[in-house]
Amino acid sequence: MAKSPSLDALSRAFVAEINSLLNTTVCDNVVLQTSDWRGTYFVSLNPRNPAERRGFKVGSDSKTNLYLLVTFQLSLDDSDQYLMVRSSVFALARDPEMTDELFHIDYERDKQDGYSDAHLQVIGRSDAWDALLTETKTGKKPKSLGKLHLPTGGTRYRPTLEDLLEFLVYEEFCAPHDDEKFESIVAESRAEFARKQLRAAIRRDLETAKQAVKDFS
Amino acid sequence: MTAVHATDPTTRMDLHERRSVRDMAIQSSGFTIDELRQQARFNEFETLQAKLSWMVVSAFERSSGEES
Repeated sequence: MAKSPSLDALSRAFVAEINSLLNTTVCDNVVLQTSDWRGTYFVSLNPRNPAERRGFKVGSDSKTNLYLLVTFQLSLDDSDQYLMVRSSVFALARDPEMTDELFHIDYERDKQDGYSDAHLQVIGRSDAWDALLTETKTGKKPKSLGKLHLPTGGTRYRPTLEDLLEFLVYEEFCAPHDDEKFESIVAESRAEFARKQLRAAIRRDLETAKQAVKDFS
Repeated sequence: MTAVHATDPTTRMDLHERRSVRDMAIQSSGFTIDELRQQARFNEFETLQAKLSWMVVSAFERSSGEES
């Protein structure tokens, strides 16, 4: 039987893919790195402090102040063979310290009590939201749109980094390095993510997968 | 467009260093560890920093459990 790849090797391959995706689309010289926390690996900009709130510049146009923070917490799944994203954060802000935050997408697998594994927090306001939040305020803490956790799906179909990069380009917040190649790079990266998710879903429910193959053959 | 960078070697820290990073993460969150734990229970972190800090705290707890 082939030896299982180590968490170190899998994590380094993972971060190489992420760095490649970022640097071939809308970023320059981003080097996310891995740090080993014994059984858990971090992917972050500062491997000696993965909790540091620091982003990297998006877009080559220096006039645009837009910064992205990307952090992953990785481990092996329960078979000890496959890499699993335990938790991740993608955040967008107007400054590298991420103080002037615009929104973040937060994922943590296997939440209990029906809570969504992935959600979006938008730092903003509108009259409609203010009215609703005032009407429904129950506790002493003020509610605001930025404190709300808008559900965005579960483990398999959560928002991806590819989705976020597409959003930035299609909404014209930044230009890709290469218009023609951008779509194909993102599409291939997303397809790889989907393949991994499909394989994971099959591993966890072989009977349904077998039945589906039978039905569709 | 820039060249794709090779991955730097994985950073490894000893228990003392990881504990120090954990303590710093709790301090920078503006919450107590119990408050972070409560927010983590429902994955409803009050702030971006709280979420980032919890990622470090939870990793530390898993790693120190293995070492104890």
